[in-house]
Amino acid sequence: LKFVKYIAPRLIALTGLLVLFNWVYTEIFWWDDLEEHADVLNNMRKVEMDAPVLYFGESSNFNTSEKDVDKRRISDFLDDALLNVQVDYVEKGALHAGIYASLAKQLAEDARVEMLVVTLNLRSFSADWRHSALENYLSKVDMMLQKRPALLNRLLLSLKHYENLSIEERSATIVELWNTEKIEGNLGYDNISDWDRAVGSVGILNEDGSRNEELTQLATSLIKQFGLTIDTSSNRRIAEFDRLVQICKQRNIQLVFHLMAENHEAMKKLVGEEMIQILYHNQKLLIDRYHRNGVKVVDNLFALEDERFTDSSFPTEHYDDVGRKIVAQNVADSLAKWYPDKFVVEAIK
Amino acid sequence: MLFNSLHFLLFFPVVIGFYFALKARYRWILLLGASYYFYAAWKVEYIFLILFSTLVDYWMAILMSSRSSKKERRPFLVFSLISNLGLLAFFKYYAFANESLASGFQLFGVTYEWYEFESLLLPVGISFYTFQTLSYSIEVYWAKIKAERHLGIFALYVSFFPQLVAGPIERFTSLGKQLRQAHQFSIENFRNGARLMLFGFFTKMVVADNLGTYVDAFYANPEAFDSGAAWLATLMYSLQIYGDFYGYSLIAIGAALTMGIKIMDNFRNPYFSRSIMEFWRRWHISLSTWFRDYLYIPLGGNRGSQGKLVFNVILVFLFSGLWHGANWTFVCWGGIHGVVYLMERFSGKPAAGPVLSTIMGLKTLLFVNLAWLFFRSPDFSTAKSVFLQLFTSGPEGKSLELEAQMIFIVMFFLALDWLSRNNRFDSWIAERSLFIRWVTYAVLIFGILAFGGTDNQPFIYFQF
Repeated sequence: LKFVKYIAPRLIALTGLLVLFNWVYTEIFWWDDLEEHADVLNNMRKVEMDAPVLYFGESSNFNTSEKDVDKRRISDFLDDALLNVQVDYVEKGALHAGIYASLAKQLAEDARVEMLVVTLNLRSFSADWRHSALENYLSKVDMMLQKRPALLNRLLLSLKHYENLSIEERSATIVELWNTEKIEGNLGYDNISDWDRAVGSVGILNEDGSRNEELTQLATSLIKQFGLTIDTSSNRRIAEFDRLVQICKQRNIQLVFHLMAENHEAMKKLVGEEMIQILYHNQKLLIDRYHRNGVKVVDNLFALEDERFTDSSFPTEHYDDVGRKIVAQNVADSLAKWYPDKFVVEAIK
Repeated sequence: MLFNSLHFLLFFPVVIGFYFALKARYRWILLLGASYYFYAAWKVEYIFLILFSTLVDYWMAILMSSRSSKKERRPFLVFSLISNLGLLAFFKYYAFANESLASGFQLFGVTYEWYEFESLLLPVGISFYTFQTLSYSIEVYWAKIKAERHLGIFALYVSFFPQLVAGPIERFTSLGKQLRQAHQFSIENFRNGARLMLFGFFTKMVVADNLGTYVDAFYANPEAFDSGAAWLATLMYSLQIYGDFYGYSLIAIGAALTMGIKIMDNFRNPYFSRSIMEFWRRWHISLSTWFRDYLYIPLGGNRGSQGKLVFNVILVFLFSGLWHGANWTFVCWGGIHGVVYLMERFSGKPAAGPVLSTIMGLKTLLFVNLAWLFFRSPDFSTAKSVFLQLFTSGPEGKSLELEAQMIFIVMFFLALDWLSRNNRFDSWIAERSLFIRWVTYAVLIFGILAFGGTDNQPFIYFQF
């Protein structure tokens, strides 16, 4: 009882202080901290409240090639193709479903967004991306965007209460997943490590029979990035996309997934037909799953040829201006086909 | 488990709650379980190292206690020393020793090959609990204390979670005895413990972690900065390492105090020392006294010739450097401290008077700052280049600018450190008026909540 008498007034005083501190912090310091630690939120703050279509994208949206005549983003092209509606965008390199879900929750209550188009990037399901070094930043962003008192989020930030792993820990996890995640189908390889070793040991050969190290590295990268058959029960990306679906349903926002174009020609040439089989498998799995959940999926997976990809040493979804225009046009056409009374579309100039 | 983690902030109140709810005779079980959990939260496997050290020293002490002469007890002490230091040497110094040998052989054109253990991680706190348990074995050998028969109490002495991973390195005569006592809940202890923890969290999370961001930025590419930045980074590192270790120690002492267990102070305003000799009476006191009691005095201390004294002092400082890290830079850091210590010792009593005292204090601070260069630098070439940079500046070097809030944080911390120079922080704050107390608490709490460092800054002494 003595202790209760001692502690109670102090706890009340402390609670009052905390409420005051939270107000002071939110008013004076919060936005600076967000700018420093979760700058993607600033993109959200810049979103036009009147834009009915919002496009969420990673680096594929803004990456351009030096040779590009037209430097517009995919979302810019989409905006131009859809004549009667405004399309705004939120972008940041390496964004994925986990952050999209948190960003969607941040949409202002009075925003007029009716449709959210987000990139569905096959590579983001890979162990590489699920545990890339950028995940520390992204999981920090995710933590900062949680709807809690701002001061609590700030404390959790300094306590590193997010997935804050060292490069070594992440590398070890990635290698373990390459060794343990089973590849479905009878491809002759149990897992990515097996496949990687098989291709890497022989290598990609030049016409004269010598080993081409650059192409061998690209081939093994393709295996590591795309060689998995997505396990819907354990792949965290699935759970994150599912969360996004739920948030959009609650907000009454139509969700559209933009299945990104991948360099299938390079995959077929360097890795073989097995890789294309896996692409088909994952494509069907994702489209079926999200159609069932009321999500529209624009399928651009095989929409581009090899020459449209701007990175030759590592698999990315970076397209040249023609490539960006093609995928944007496909998205616009699909939207107009699904919602003819909402969208008027024209060919992108 | 880190002190500055949500995990600990949830773990600690639960332990305290159960601790006082339990009957005193069962508390050791709770604390032992909590301590192993605390350690296993980092890496489960390495619990076995603590268990090994515990069992070895427990049995060796029992065996020693039944022998009447030192000669009979000696083999058991030797076994304890070899077992504990062997583990320490393997985990901490194996790679360092082999790399040094390889470099040495290379000078003579000989290739030295050795097996590298790729997944060998340095067990957190191994240097601390090894030294703690060794102090027990040595004291039993000297027949200064009796062997502890209760394995649980002894295991708890080795692994008591507040000071398990970074000290203070406690003696069995103090901690072991307290672990047996039935501590009643005391508001006084709880209040003082909470005060120390609050100040400790501020010192670690706000002062040290934020300074660490600037220091890391500088050391990532020292050549890019100018001379002023080199001085500022050097000064900031001095404050960072102090804040980091002092903060940790305060949390450890405070956490134990809430349970009624008193752990020794590890720091007494070391940067206000007027000499290096004084500095070592104020910095990492539990380690300094360990080396004094178990190495320096057994070697003969200051008895005998001047040559013997020089040898003993230098040896202790070199070992102290090596204890800190498996790198020649640490040995060098220890060595130069030893040399200056001896210079002060042979130059007689320092002059008295406030002006001279201040000058001596500034001189000591300057030396300690410069010596930290070797501690912070990953290698000699970095240390050398930063040292030269202090006195020469490239024309295009960047400056290192502190944000206004960081300046306020540092000034506030230094003010508290200065004001509490004659007392520990908990005693000092207790004597202040209600207004001053709560203003201080408010600044500390707001600092922790709103300005904690956001970069990865693990406790510096964890690596030791």
